[in-house]
Amino acid sequence: MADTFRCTLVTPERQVFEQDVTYASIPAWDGQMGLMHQRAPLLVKLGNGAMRLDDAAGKSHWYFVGEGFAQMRDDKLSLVVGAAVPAEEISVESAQAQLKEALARVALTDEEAARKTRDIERSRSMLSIHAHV
Amino acid sequence: MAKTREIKRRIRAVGNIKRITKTMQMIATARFQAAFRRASAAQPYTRKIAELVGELAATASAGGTISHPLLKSDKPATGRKLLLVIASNRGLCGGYNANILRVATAFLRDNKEAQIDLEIVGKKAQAYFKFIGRPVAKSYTQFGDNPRYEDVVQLADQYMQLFTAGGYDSIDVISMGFISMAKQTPKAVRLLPLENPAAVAGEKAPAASVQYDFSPEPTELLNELLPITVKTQLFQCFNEAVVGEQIARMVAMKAATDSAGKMGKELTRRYNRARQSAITTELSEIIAGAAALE
Repeated sequence: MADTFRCTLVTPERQVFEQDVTYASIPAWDGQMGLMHQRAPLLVKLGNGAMRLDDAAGKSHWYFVGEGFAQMRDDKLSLVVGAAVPAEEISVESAQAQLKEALARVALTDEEAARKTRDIERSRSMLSIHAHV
Repeated sequence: MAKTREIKRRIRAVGNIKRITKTMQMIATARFQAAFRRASAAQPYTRKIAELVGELAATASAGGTISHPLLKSDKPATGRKLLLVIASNRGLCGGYNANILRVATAFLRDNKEAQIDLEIVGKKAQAYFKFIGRPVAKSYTQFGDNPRYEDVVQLADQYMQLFTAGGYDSIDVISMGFISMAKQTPKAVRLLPLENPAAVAGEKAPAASVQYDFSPEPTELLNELLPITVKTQLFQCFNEAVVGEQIARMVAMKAATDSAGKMGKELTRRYNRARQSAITTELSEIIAGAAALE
């Protein structure tokens, strides 16, 4: 199919993904964002969350990504994140344990509350990504 | 004969040592390849971050100068600096640690007027500074042959916090730099403060050639990217240090193996000479004895 664009996902430890994709759903800091080919140039901060990349064959690759940035330019999407876990490698038990722990936590300060919300969203995100395996 | 027995013992000892150094050379080679692959795998990330900083700097500075707590500023000097020295835990790596510690000592000497807090990675650095009597503020042991990004990030976050709190004028890192397989030289990297990216970018390209959709504002994006630059720089220092250590050990153990081989050959020749002279002596004694009986 002609409507593809190159997508690269890198972390500080390795290059996780590099293929032509038809659609990319990325977790921008203010919500989920969808990108298709010939999108206008974009430079956006990413938050923790689910990333879905649909390759040219129609297969969806799901990842849980840590914070980072997405740059779309000249029909090339570059994703630089602190960590990227493929859906197949997400451990359901540990995500559920983390969710349980975060929900049970008592947050006394604003910082702790923010961290609690973030951890809850992270574990929920991981569990929902794993469901797509 | 006693002499031949001694030499035979030495030949066996040298043979054992040769086997050990050869094994160490092979292990170092394998570890080097793994470390080099890891260091190379980190490059795309580091390059991309630098590219994004460059692109943002041109845009962000168009509205005025960029300022950030991690950048160079005109704030009054505190007279305190922090130096991180990265050496190895194990020895038998040739001149690796000596070279790094020499550069570190020179740095400490050249910056005598400042109060320098010394932090170290590696037992060899610990032993050295203890020997010369230089007090060490902190010693990190969790970084091994395979420094993890999360561990380095923790250290980088700590340093950035200390720096922005006004504790230090600068934070420098001295470690082995990798230039090529044949060339590694110790380098002193100024981790903080960072060079103003607008100043760096301005020399190269004009204003951003691409009109981006920025989310959030370019200034805020840049502010998020600068700490990441610090983290990747520190990670690169650690990666190059590990690669350099494995190469140094490879080279040292190869030299040791070759020396052991040469020594073994030399000793074998001596052994044969000693054996032959013992036989000759015995023969002449027998002949002399036989002649005396006639």
